[in-house]
Parts: sequence; structure tokens; C-alpha cells
Amino acid sequence: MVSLAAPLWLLGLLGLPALWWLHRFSGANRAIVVSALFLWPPGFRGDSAARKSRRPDPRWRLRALLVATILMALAGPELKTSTARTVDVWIDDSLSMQTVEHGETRLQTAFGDLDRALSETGIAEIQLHSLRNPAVQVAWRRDKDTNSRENWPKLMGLPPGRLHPPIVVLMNRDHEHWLISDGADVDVNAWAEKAPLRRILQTGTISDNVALTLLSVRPTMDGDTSRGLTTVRNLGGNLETRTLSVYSGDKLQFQKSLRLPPHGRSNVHFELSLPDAKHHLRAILTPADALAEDDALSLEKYASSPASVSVAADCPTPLKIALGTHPGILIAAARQAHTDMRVVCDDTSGIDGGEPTLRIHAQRVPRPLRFPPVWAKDEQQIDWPLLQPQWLYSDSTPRRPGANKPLFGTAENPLITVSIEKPRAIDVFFDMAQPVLIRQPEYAVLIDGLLSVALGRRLFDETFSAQRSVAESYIAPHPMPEAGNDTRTSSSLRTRVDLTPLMVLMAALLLVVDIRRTRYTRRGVPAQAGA
Amino acid sequence: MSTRVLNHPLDAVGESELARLVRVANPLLAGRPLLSAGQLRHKRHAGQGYEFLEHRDYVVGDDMRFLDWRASARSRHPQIRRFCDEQTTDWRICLDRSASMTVAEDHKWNLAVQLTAALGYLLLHLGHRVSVLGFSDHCTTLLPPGRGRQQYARLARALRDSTPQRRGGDSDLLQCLSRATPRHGVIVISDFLSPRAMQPVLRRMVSAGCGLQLIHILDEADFGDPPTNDTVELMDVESLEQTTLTTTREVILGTRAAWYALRAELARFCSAHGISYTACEVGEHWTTGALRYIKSLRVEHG
Repeated sequence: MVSLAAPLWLLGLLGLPALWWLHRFSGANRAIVVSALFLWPPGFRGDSAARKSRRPDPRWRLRALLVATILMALAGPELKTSTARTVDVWIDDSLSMQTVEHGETRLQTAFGDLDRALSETGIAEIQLHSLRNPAVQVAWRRDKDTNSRENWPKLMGLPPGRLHPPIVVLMNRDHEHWLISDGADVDVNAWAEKAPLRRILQTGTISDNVALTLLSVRPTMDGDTSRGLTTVRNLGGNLETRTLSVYSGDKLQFQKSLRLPPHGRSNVHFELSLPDAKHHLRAILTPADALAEDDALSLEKYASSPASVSVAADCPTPLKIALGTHPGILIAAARQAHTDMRVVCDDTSGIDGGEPTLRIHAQRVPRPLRFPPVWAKDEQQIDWPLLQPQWLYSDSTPRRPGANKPLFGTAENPLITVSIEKPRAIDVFFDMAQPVLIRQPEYAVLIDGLLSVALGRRLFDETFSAQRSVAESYIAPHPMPEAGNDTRTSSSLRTRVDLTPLMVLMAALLLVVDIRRTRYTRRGVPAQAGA
Repeated sequence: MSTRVLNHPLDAVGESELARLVRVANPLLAGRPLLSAGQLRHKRHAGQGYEFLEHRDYVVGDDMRFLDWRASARSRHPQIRRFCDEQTTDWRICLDRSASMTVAEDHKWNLAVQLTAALGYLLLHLGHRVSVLGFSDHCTTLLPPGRGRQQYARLARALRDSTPQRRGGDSDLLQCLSRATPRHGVIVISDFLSPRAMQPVLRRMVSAGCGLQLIHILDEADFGDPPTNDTVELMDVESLEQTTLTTTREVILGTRAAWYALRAELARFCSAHGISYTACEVGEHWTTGALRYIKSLRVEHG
């Protein structure tokens, strides 16, 4: 079907009679001028009456067609295909859409509504888009695809996460946009107010939900027990009663009944004895509610075992003693093949294994530092001790960090460097057996920090936690905006083919033909060369 | 002050080409008078006068006896002294300015202007006095009589300033008859597109004792090239008379035959009355037409 973008231009067609009139009465321009009429045989010598009765120049038809073509081009003709109506369906696949109502999730209900809406409107092809990742889309054709609506959620196949609605101005204006949502997500509602949505399919009525939003475990300093914390939120408007159970593997470690006021929260502390690094920790709320996905949280690991560290025999005794007393590591036996880390105390030892290495370089002529050293920022944000320059004895020979990153030192020389690549290799360029240093309490903190940087984890006070955003657990449907942002008519949404270039081309061809005919009539002779 | 017109036909008429034309004309004419014996009286050979006329550059064929050594030393080019030729006469060049010369993109007019300039240069080189008259439905003096090198500059300027009539008017050579005095040469450059090809007025000019020479500008566009088998309206560019006819093959062939017949009739008339006749067709270079004119003089006189 052909439509016009600016049909008012067609009013110019009313001027075509004037064109005919000009061709009828402009006899002087129409006649072929000859040098000598007496050479021609006598014909019908025209008088005024004959001039009135003569027909217009036949070229008026060609020129009228030319003018009509130009007017059509200005009117912007467009060819619209009714079979190419495409609907982009944006799916709110947030966690709240997994809420079970009447035996099926909100997402399944919404897909049922979508199927019925497609049947009513006769739309044969849609594109399913996930709001978690708008770039992912699944095409579906009624006549070709055998996928039933139960398979549509599987087609999306995206892990849970935050929603990323598309930028409104980048949405395809030639397509029709629909939205499937429960209205529980504030961001989606805000986006829906601006997006050119033609239809919104909203599902869901339940608003009460209790969610477990935090599970955190922190081993105590003695290492025998761990303290835990859970946060339970009532996101509905009614008083709720739940039972919180904490399991280590299959073993129940803690259980407590909770009364949760409307929109209230409860922080539950518990203590775990004999933390087991082999089992995962799981917290569950019972009985399950409409959104069961947020009634449990689990930790794959909630306790860490001591790291095995091999210490070279030539290391200074104060260092060996300090390492041996660290509660987070175990000094490996000399014959042990695999360790988590090794400590070497000579310049020639390379990093040959796959484990992190702490390399203490021997200082031949150690002298106290003249300037106070400073710490650089590290990834683990360790609270490094303040080491006084008079405690640190080092060779005055300038050294370059090379490919390693300086961690501690002065402006002249780095005293501790860390390799950028893993496994981490830490080089220490000051005397770790200096008596004034080993007597300081900062000595143990320094060694713990070096071990933590090398191993990539805290050896003291490590916290294991799992949490969920509270916004994900809100399932109360909010009123959705009216789907009136798309003011286009159904016909205007069809695929358009602009016919203007075709009209311009046709007009150009007609113009060329008219020019050639005009030159021919005027007996055009090629320009005289050289004259 | 006149403004130089760009792309004027005279742009194609260069001094070097004119000089070459003169070099060719010198041996061809070989001192022969430009007018037939019996019509004008020539006292002596060309260039044998005593009154100094001008200096000009030496060209091949000039008599070394007239070489002016002082003038050559001053100008660093060989200079020839020229004298008023006692055999010279006055020449009128009658240039057709009627509207028929402008049909089909002014090709006829352009060639006529170029030939006027070339013949004027040649005549002035031979020491003649030259004037130019333009005629359509009236006669206009485009260039008063004069001779010498400056006269050619005036001639070129006059030709650049003159324009043909675009519509209406007539080709009435009779208007120039009063200005053509006996014993003067008259060169008519025209397409002679009038019934009987201006023969009555030509006859009167011959009777008046004018040394008449015709240069016929021919253009096949004169009989038109309308679309075949179409009802067209034709308009005469001069009389503005219109007629409507169907351009059948017979009509077009008949028109072409009439055009050729007109040309042949004019040629016969000139032959019968001892008039030099040269036909120049649009499309050929002006030097070709000028040489054909010079050759026609040589054949006629030699």
C-alpha cells in the first residue's frame, strides 16, 4: 500500500491545466524557426482563428508527467507492507517474575497472556527481548516455529541479574513494542513511562514476601568456632512467621522461629562450632512463600584451612620463629612436595614452582635508612604497619624494581616489590633479622601482610558472605503507566519503503528525454569547432 | 568603450593565420588586380606608388628593395616600406545582418564575420581602402572607408560590436545600392535567402558599375530538420509568417530540392553576369572559405 508523507504537495497537480494552457497558446515558442519559409511548400497559413483552434504542443504531456513526478517525489511516497509487522516483546525477567501464583510463575502467566494477545491481533512474528540483556533476542514465527509458549522462558536462558532496559532513543521506531512485566521493579516502571510501548501485559497480584537477604560467617580468632549473621526481611504488609534453619552440609547447625512485622527486618546471630571447610553452609526460611527463590542463601565455603608454607633452611631464625607462630599457616615438612607457598632467603633462588614465593634478599652491608619509607596501595587494602627507618637496614646499592611493582620503599630504592603476574612473588630488600626490627610488634604484622599478599587472601579475620538485593525481592505489583507513548497508528508501524528516490530518478529521465526532444525540434547542430 | 565579447567568432581569427593567408594570397594573386579588367581602370602595378603609406613586417614574397633598414634596426624586425598603390581602389563589404543569418545557433553569422575580417585584412594588406556595410531591412555603415593597419583594428572592433537581427526584418541589399558608387568593388557576404536570391538588386548593382563579388554562406539548416511525419508549425525568422504542414518525406525532399535550386540559380546568375561567386558552407574553417575566394579570383582573372 502506498502512502504519502506530505500529501499537500499533490495540490500542485491542480496547476497542470496551466501547463496545458501555456503549451496551447505559446505558439511562438512552439513553432520551428526556419530561415526561409518560401523554401517550404505552401501549407496551412495560420491566422488568429486557426491559432485558437490548434492543438497544444504534444510535449505538454511529457512535461505534465515530469511535473507530476516531481510533485510525487516531494510528497514522499512510501510503500508499506502489511505482512512485515514486527513486534518486539520486552520481557521483565527479574526475580519477582518467578513468583508463583495459581500454580505457575508470573512469567508463565505473562507468556500465556502474550500468546492470547498474539492470537487476537493476528501478529505472526515477534522478537523476544530480555530486559537483563537487551542485545539477546529470540525470534518466533507463528507459522514456522514449533516452540510452544512453555519453551519461551527457556529460550531466553539468562542467569538472574540486574535489569538493563534499553535506551529509549535507540529502540527501533519501525517496530511495535510490547512489555511483559509485573510492575514490581521500579526501574522498569520508570522506563515504561518513557519508552514507546504500544502494549503492556501486566501480571501478578500477590504482594507479601519474606526474603533472606544476608548470610555472613566470620571465624573467631581461636579458629575453633565461627560467628554467623543472617538478615531476614518482611517485604509485605502483613505480619509473617518464619523458621530460619542453618545447615552445614546436611547437618542442622541452628534453627530459630521469627516473627516479622510488616516491612520489618530481623538480624539473627548464630555460632557455628567446628567449622568445616568441606561443606557448604545453607540458610533456609520455612514455610516457603510465593517467591521461593529468595527464601534461601548458601555459602560454598565458610571456613578456610591453614596455608602450608615451606621455609628455606637458610632463612634467619627470627623469621622462622615468626612464621612458625602464625596461626594461619602450617610450616611444611622439608619432604613435602606441594605447598601453598614457600619462603626463600637467598638471591639466587628463582620462582620455579607454581606457588607464591616470599624471597628475602640477604643484605651484605646493611645500613639504616636515611629517609622514611612509604607503603603503596595494594589490592587487598591491608593495614600495613608503620615501620620506622631506623628499624630497617638495607644495602645502599640502587636497585630497580624491573617488571615488579614497588610495594614499600623510599624514593631512591624499593624495599618490597610484588610481581604483577600470578603466582605472586614478593622480594624483600632489607634485613629481616635485624635485632631492632624483630623486637617490634610491627614485625609480626609485617609478616602477616606479606603472606596475605602472596597468598591473595586474608589469613586473619576472613569473612564469608552471600547477600541479595532487597529490591529483587519486592514482588508487590505497582500500577504500570498507560501504554500511550506510542502514538503511531498501526499502519504507520508497518515496514516502509521510500519511493522518493525512484520518483526522482524517473523525473530525471523524463527531463533528459524532454531536453533531447527540445534540442531535436530546434534543429540542434553541434557547436562549430574552431569557429 | 566597447567590451570585448567572450567566445566571439573573431577569437578564431588570429593575426598569425591572417599573415599566413596573405603569404598564400601573394603568389596566387601575383599582382593581379582584384577586379576584372574592363570594369575598373588600373594605372600601374600594385605597390608601385610614391606616397608612403606605412611600415609593416616583412613577409616572404616581399620585394627586398622596399626593405627599410633604419626601421628594421629600430624595431629589430625586418620592416617593409609600403606606399599608396595607385592601382588600389575602394572596397565595400556588404555583410548580411538579417535574422536568417542567426538561425541554427548563429553559425552562418559567425562564418560571415570571420570571412569579413579575413577579406578586410587581405584587402588592406594589398593597400585598398575598405569599408563595411551591414544590411538587413536597412543599411548601416559598420566601418567607414579607410586603409592601413589601423583600419583593420577598427574593422575588428566594428565586427565585435555589431550584432545581427534576431527576429523580423528583411534581407534587403537594395538599401546598400545608394552607397555603392561605380568603380568601387563590392563584396556581398550573405545567405541570399530571399525569393530569386536577390537577383534583381544584384542586377541593378552590376548595371551601376559596381565590381560585384558574392560570398554565399550555406547552411543545411536553412531548410530545417523537423521531425518526419509530424504536423509542425514553421515560422519564418524574418517575416515571422507561420504555416502548419505535415512533414512528409515528400515535403522534406521538396524543400531540400528548392534549397539546392536556389543555390544553383544564384551561381548561374553570377556566371552569366561575370560576378565572382564563392560558396562557403557552415562547418568548414574560415581559412578554407577565404582561400576558395582567392582561388576563384585567380581562375576568373587568370
